[in-house]
Amino acid sequence: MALVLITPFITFLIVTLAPRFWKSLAILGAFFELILTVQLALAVKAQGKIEKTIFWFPEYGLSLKLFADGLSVLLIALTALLTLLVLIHAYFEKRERGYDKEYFLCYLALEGVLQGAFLTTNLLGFYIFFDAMLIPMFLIIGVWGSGRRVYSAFKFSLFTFFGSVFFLLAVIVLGFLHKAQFGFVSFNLTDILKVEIPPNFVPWLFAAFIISFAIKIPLIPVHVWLPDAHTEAPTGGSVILAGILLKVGSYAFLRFAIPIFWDVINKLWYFLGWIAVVSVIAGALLALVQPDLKRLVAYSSISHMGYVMLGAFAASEGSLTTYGLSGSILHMVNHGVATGALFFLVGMLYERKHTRMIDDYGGVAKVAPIYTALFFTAALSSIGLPSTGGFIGEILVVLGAFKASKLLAALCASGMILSAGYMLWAMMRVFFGTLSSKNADIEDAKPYELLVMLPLVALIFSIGIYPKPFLEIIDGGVRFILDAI
Amino acid sequence: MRFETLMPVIIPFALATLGFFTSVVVKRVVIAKISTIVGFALGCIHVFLVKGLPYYILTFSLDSLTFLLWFSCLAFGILVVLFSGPYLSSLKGESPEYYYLLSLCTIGAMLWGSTDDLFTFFISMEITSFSSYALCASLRTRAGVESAFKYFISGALFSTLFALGAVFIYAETGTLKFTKVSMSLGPALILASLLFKTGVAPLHFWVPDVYQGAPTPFSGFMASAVKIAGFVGLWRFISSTGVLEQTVIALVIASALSMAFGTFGALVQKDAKRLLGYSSVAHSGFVLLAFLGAKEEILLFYLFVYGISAMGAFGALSSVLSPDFIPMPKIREMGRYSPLTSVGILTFMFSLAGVPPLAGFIGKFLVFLKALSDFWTLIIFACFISVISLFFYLSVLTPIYTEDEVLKPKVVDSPFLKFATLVCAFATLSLGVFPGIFFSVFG
Repeated sequence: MALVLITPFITFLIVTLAPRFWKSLAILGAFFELILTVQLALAVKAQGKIEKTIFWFPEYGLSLKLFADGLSVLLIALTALLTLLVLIHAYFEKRERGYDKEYFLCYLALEGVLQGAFLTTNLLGFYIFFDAMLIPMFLIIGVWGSGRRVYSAFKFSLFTFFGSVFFLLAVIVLGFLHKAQFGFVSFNLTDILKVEIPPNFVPWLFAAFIISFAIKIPLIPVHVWLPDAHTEAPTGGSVILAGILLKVGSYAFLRFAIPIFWDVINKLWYFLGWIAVVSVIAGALLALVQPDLKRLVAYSSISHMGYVMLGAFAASEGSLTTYGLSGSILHMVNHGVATGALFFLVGMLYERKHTRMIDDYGGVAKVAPIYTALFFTAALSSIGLPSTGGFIGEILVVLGAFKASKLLAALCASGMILSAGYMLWAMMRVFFGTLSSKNADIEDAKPYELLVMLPLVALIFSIGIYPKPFLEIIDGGVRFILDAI
Repeated sequence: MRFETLMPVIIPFALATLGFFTSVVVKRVVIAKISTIVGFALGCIHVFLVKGLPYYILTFSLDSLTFLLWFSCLAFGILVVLFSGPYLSSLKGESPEYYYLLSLCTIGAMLWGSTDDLFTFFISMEITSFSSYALCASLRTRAGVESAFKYFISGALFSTLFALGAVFIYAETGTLKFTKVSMSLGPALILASLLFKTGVAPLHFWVPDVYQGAPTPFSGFMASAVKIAGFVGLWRFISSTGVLEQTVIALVIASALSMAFGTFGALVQKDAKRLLGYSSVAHSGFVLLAFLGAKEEILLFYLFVYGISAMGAFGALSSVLSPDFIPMPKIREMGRYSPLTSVGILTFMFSLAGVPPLAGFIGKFLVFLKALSDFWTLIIFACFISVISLFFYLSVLTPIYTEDEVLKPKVVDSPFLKFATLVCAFATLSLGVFPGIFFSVFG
């Protein structure tokens, strides 16, 4: 398990030092990491959970506890998969701004940090990984982005840092409370769960947690960094950002906020559920009016993260619903796969014609049928069509929400209709209609692009048609949350 | 009397003096440079040799504060020589007296923070200050001379105030040793003078001007070694005379003001060195926060980590060929033509901003951890300040990495400079990932 955490960093070092063949070495390292994570996922499926403690700086409560269960292991595997695909894509992609080696290094560092965030249940360790993402992500957006990349990179960094600093304060306070009650500082989740938080502290700590995670997820009032960051980031950056970085927020919510602050969430779930539903609907409505294809996909992410959070907030009879939670976890994976695929595809189209405006296209299906088919698969999974992964996740979330509140479930389901609206309408304008002469030279999918897309398409269908193995893994994660509350 | 305890001070001084006169006689600068750096290195080794001897010699006490101070002054001395050599020779400003003054400055700083006698304290403070004034003007540019003059005028005023304060204390207690005093005019004057020397708001006005005008590597030295010495001296004074407990409110206000002035001042800067000067003021506020937390080892960690990041940042910037100002356009596209130093700057900026996994984060975290229970309002303020400060640290990186022009200006290109940058960057990263190392060596 420690190997999963270390491999990206070792690859990072090797790639830094290698004078030649470093691109292939980076891909090889990412592939090895993928094998390790799949192994880990299979082990978790067999054993339920795996733990390991690494001592690091114990005087101040900084020991790392590595922990993997159904909640995190799919995201760990997804991180490895998407990083590998991004690196393969980057191998062939042309970058106008150069800095090729640094580009690969940023993704490897980001992968390592993300694995760290998913693997540790020490709150401080999590914070460190959570915040360390800022450095490679700032560079990815700021250096290799397009258009207003510097503005977007600043916006992303400042928003994230704002949230995380207060999360850090809350973590320190929790560590203090542990010291006051048990005599030593500890930031491990199992220890923190034993702490009795004084009632006058609870609202502040909860606010610090939820603001930090809500910015990362992002929920609607604090989502403003997302459209810019996603749109201006390079293709790989958008894929990792939408595919995994957003999930760190929702994962942290499920892993830390719900167990620690269950009493508050139990009281406030209806209000929080409304925020999630507003995110679903407002995200979809905003996506509907976007003239920019990449921005449209970015707004659809807000909408989908709303589903994830609604699943997590759907409480009934003093507990969370199993349906809602497993839907929430599965939808994280689905959204990572589908939106990752969509960002790849948008990036490929942009590489061909250097425009992302929907109006500049039309009739693309005539010249690029395979590309169109790939786009449709990803888009239909994003809409939630039965037989694709998206359907399973959304239906579970709606079932969970239905148990909790019929109104929220109904509104959430209407969000699904809206998502069909914006996606299908955009596809109609891009792929059908008349093909203008300047678009007649659009190439169909190249072999390497197929190589990048096929694993994602396979995942979309395998989750959609036979979700049982995935749900079995997820069950362990659901049990973790239900036991903790 | 066991003088071998003072070997870390005597050896660099002796070697530097010898090297200086030899190089003046034979007219070869390189002799002064080498003897200075060898002196620092031998001193560094001796610091470890004398460690653990619980000596109190003349007025110098050899405790963990002194140990770290001596080590960091000498280590930063080595780094600043490595940075200065190529920088000065590219600007045709290398001279033996630069290195001699640098050794004097280092030795003054070492004595400054390790004494508990007001007289020795004053003398060593003045040794440091006077050599700093001269070094600021050592390239004889208009801005350098201006900065030296500003530093000198205001520094002399506050030195006088220090002497006056010492007189008041002597009149009250009858001794120049640090003894328990009640808060009155004497300690207040000394406190003001030391807050000036360490660049704490509202006495920070000289910092940006001086850092901007001085030769770039020496700005780094002022921000690291001289600052550490000032803070260690201040800490020794206020903790052993009991002034700390009586001036908590003043320190809280000074800390908040430093953070605010430093951060908001830095936000509007168009010059990289001036920006780092303001950032230094903001960090002074955090150091005062560590004072308030009253845990010595955390204070030391914060000072050392800040010092190494600031030294590295100025040092890496010294690859820009400029005797004084470094306006932002001057570092455009640096990532392309000097990739290694740029990665160094990247590391230092994120470390100064306190982003994990770099050392600056651990420093900030430990300071927050210790001061949180008593000073939580100030800490929340510090959190807001950290977020705002990220903005200007990133704005140093923006020209380096995100501009589109292709240009290749003349830069100071030297393996020594790259090596020193790498050392600083490596230290910043490894102290962030394994902070335990620091506490096992200096704890």
